[in-house]
Amino acid sequence: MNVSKYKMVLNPNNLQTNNDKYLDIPIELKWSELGQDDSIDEIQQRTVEEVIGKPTDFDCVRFGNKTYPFTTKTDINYVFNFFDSINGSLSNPTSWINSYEQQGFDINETYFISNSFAKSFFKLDLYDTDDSRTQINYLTLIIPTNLSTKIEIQKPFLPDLKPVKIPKFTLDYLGNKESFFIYWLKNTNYLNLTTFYMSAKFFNAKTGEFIRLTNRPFSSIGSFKFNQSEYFYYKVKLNYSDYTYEIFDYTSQNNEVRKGSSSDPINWYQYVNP
Amino acid sequence: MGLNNTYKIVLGSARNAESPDVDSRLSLNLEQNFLQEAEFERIQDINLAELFFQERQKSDIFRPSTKITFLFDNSYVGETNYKPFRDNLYYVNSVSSALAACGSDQADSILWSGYPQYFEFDLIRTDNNVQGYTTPTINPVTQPHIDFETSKANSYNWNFYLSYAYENDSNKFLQCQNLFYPNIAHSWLSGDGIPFVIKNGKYNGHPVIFLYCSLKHNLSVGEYVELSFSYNNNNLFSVDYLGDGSFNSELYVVGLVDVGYLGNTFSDNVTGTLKRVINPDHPIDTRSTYYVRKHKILTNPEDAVLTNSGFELNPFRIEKKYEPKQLTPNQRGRLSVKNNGQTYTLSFSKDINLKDVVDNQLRPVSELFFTQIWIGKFGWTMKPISNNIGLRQGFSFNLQLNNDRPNPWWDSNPQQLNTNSLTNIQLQNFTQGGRTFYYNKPPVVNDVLDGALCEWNDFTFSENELSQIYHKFVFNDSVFNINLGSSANFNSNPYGYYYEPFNKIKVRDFSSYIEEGESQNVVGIPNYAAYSENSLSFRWRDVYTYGYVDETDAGVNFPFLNGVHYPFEITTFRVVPEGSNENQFINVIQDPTIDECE
Repeated sequence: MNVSKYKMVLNPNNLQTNNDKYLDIPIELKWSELGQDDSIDEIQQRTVEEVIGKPTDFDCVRFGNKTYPFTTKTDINYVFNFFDSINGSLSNPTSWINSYEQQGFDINETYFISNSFAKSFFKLDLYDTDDSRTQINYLTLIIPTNLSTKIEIQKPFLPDLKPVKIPKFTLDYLGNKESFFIYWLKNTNYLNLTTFYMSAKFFNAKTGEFIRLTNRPFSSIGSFKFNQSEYFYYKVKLNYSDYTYEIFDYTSQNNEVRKGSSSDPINWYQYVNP
Repeated sequence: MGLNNTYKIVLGSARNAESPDVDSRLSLNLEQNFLQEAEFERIQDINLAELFFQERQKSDIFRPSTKITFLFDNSYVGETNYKPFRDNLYYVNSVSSALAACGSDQADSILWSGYPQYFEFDLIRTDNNVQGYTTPTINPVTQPHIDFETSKANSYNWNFYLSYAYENDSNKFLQCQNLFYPNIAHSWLSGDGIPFVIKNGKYNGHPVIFLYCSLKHNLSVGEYVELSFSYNNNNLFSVDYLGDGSFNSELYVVGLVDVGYLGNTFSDNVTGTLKRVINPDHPIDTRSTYYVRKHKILTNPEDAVLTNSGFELNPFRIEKKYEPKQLTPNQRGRLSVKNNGQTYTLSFSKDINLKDVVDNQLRPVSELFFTQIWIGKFGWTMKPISNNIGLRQGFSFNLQLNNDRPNPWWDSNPQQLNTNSLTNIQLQNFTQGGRTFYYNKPPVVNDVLDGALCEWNDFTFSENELSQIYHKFVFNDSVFNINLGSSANFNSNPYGYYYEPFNKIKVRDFSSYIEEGESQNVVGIPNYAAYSENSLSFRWRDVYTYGYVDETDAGVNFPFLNGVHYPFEITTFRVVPEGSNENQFINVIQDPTIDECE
């Protein structure tokens, strides 16, 4: 602001005529509230937004499995092992077998894809925490049994080897794509959740039962009193920079080992409830 | 409000005899406190439709997607003895090659001929498990041609982008043979207008000067053309006729009444260029400008999400056959595919924010372009032609065959090479089996590519595409030779495939009417308006609100949710074998429009 400085001096030529001097300062203020209506409109708009909410971005984007280090592979491998309740022993890790026979599906049912086999599926639930008391299930991946890997075995009374399905799944960008991609929020403003904890169940359509699975066989756990957060989950981390995910086996928050490759698959073992 | 206190300033000597007389100053502190009183209460009814409308108009974020119908006809048979290619052809002479290999000590040197399989051109490759080609062989262990990464299955052959037109190039050098008289060649700059050749003829018995153009002129009867040469210092001539009577010629042929021009100005075979002028009294205002549109890339290749569009196929039949192991060079039976018809869906993981982004005419961006670029990572095509560039570009007038051979525009012979036919996409290469394979380096965000040849007119305030741009790629004859038994001349200008790299999608639209107003009388003239010396006012087209479509079908109305616009378009992406789709003018006489004597 420029300030006018008024200076009053005596008349140097005639001191006798020096009189009192007066300075009249006419200060007049006229003002109106410029933009008042705009401000009120803005407040009104803000109030309406508070009352009914602003548009929120719920759109999803797909995340694929990140390429494994030092390879070009992106496939994700799940291997499900069921307990041999007839010949197996809880202390013997080989009692968990990668076969549907332990769930009551014989070779004919898997080869000819019986209704009960076709309607069975694996259910992978992704939670926000590994604390079962407080966790929320945000995502579920369903792996149908028809995506199972086939192996050639000798069937009774038949001369040739026949392809029979086993509970092992190789999912990738090509081929078996179902449940390979994780679809999650594109924008993290609404819910900034990039780490999930994945648990697994198997639905047996023959018996109508859900079988829970752990990340280690019971022989490694050793006790029915175990820390659930340690044995029921794998950790899934989403990466927003390249829209990929990685799955880790973790024994503590700082001890994570990436899983899922064909040489180091994600193993699930039937949880034997005492 | 006034000042209530009266201040009196007196001399020091007047107040006290011993006081000195000094200058006096008065400092005024102006301080106000006031309180706003509530004037009234406000009540607002919340209208959901109105709120949706407001949110929709406010958003500048777009997530475009498209369903791509991919049309490709696998057309060229070639031969190779490069093992990974040789072992994966769709064979056409498998019996003779097998017999030759059987009786030869050097079976590997026998050439096998056939079509490259459909995977080599498909938008998503699915041959991820072919031993020796995309995965290593097991016994003995050998490196594959390409170690296939499934996550890149949709980017090995093609890359997909979004782009927008952001600049014009009026100095692009163009060449072509006249569409009607191929023996006459034209060379011009894009800003010069439309090239033509003169032929004198008659229309209803009257002498007429026909201007045969090589591209669509976009003129109407009653408008004017400004020619590149003058007659008696006049270069503006009225358009009196369109077409010469042959089928579709009204789009390409302009007729001027010959009032008896003297000299050779309008003699047969005189060539020149023309520009459209709407009002001859105001030629500057109403004259069209011509340019090649330039596109700026908005996304990176990894932003594109390309998936199968369910089980949808195009209407053409799938061609596949079984190759028995006795009739393959590696003694492995397999199914080979020549043509397929999968349809795809393309979307992008990156949002497109068009706030404050302007197009090549400095208007708000109203069109985005799904942009596809041939990459050819497997190395069947591409080799350096000049400056490490192999991908070519041209316009519709460069697609005509010349004596059943590709147009000279595409010739890669160094003596005849036209560098204007090169794109700005560099090549990359890799070596395998002692051979070098080339592929195009994928463009990235902010790269610029040439687009269509366009006309803009300030008076109509509209852009008209005169010719799309096309990219062309040919096979690398050192690894796959399609010029079987042909002379060496053919090798410098072989047949290839061409495609349109840009497919438009409207994200906004301009009004079908033109607004006009003077700056002192009209508020809200957009900054992209053009000033008309003719009407002494600004002219422009309004941007329609989202959701409004007028009776001329101008406007856009696509879904809006998540605070984002979701424009969608069905696109047909054709990869055309050269010569199968050239511009041809069949000598068909149109039905008479006046009477049977016309």
